Amino acid sequence: MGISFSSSHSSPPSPSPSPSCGMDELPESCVALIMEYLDPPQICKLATLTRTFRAASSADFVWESKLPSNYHVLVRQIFNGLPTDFKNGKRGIYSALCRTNTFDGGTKKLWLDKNIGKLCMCIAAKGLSITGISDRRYWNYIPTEESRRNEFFDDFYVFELTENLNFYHLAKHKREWGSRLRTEKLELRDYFASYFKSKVLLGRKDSVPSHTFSKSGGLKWTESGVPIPSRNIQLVLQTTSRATLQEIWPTGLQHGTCSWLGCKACKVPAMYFRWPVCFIPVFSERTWQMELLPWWQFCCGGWKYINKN
Amino acid sequence: MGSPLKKIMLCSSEKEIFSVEEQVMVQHSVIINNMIEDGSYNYEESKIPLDCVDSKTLKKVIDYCTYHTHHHNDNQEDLEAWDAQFLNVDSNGLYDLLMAANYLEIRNLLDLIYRTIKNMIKGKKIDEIRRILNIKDHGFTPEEEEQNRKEYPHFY
Repeated sequence: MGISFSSSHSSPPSPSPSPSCGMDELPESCVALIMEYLDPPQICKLATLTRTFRAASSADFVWESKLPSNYHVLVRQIFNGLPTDFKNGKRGIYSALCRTNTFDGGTKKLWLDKNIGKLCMCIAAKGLSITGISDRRYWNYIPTEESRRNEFFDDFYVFELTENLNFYHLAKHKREWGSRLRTEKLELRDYFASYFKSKVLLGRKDSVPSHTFSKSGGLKWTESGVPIPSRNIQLVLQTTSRATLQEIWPTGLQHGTCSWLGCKACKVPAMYFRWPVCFIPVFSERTWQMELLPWWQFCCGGWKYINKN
Repeated sequence: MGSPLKKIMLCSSEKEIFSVEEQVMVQHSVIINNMIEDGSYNYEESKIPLDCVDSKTLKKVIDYCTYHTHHHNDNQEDLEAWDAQFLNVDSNGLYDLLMAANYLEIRNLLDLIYRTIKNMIKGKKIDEIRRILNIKDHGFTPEEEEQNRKEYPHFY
């Protein structure tokens, strides 16, 4: 430690030490430690500050601290490889994971939010396995305009959020939403709001959908730790005896990684859960999205439930 | 192990001797803790030479360690206010403190300095950061610097 210190003791002891130098003389190890405190975009910016900063900005331990703890699992699952396969080390893994990576036959996408390094996951309607989904009497797949262009949605984007992605934004949006999403949990760093965007088309089988509405449920991870995206994620829908769509609620995910907080029908569709976020789009409705300022917007097909009554 | 009030001697780059309570330094500095623990320090004669820490900086470091030893039960806000006041120095002073804390391995002081630097450069352009941190020599060749500026104009 401190071996690379150069200027102060080069001069013999004198009443006043040699003039202090600027930060350009900081050893690389110190710079790398500073970088551990910074966000990935700041690290990239500082790589242009000085040569030392540039060298420090590719240190493995800096990027390791930005990667999700289960990154080696992700690398195996998505790239079918090992973390050591990446030529730029951990930084290479980070940038590879920041691209949207498709897996499971294109039905799921996974990426890191490049600003904060949190895992996001999106499951297309076709990636969902709903109880009875193969029964065409009840469930019918409807591609939307967008999904016809593209089998999997491709035009999601960060919506209405500034660079400083912070929780106060979310809390504010939340209050506008009004419903049960108003919770102090969103203020915590560990929690992140996400919107479960589903628009369910309710219609009779002999008519065009006559009514649209959106539903909400609060969802939170009940386990700590980062769940692993799995091909077995299953959304179980249960119906009550008066099986109207308003009463169909997912009651849990197969692995027990999340549970629904009961929510009455026709509330604002929203759920919050811990990163990683999984978006389960069934349908999306643009006007509604505008109103609620969600930050992911995506389009794809969805499953239409055919009400037999 | 020594009693809490045992003193140790630290010697700055100007050969000025500082006498500090052993407990204060042992609690904060990994290096000094190791030195005391392995018995290489002789209370009668030894002075710990800190050739790369000048007197002014060493005095500040000792102030920090002393304050945090005696006030660790204070409420968080008071401590933070004190820390902010403590680090109200120019970038050269900050650099000296950082190097001293790094040399002595004073973890919480390092942490404080890193957070301060982070706040100093947050949201700033590269040119501004260079000014704030008093960076005169960025070490890039003119061509590299030119290319960076061309490639990432929004950073500057």
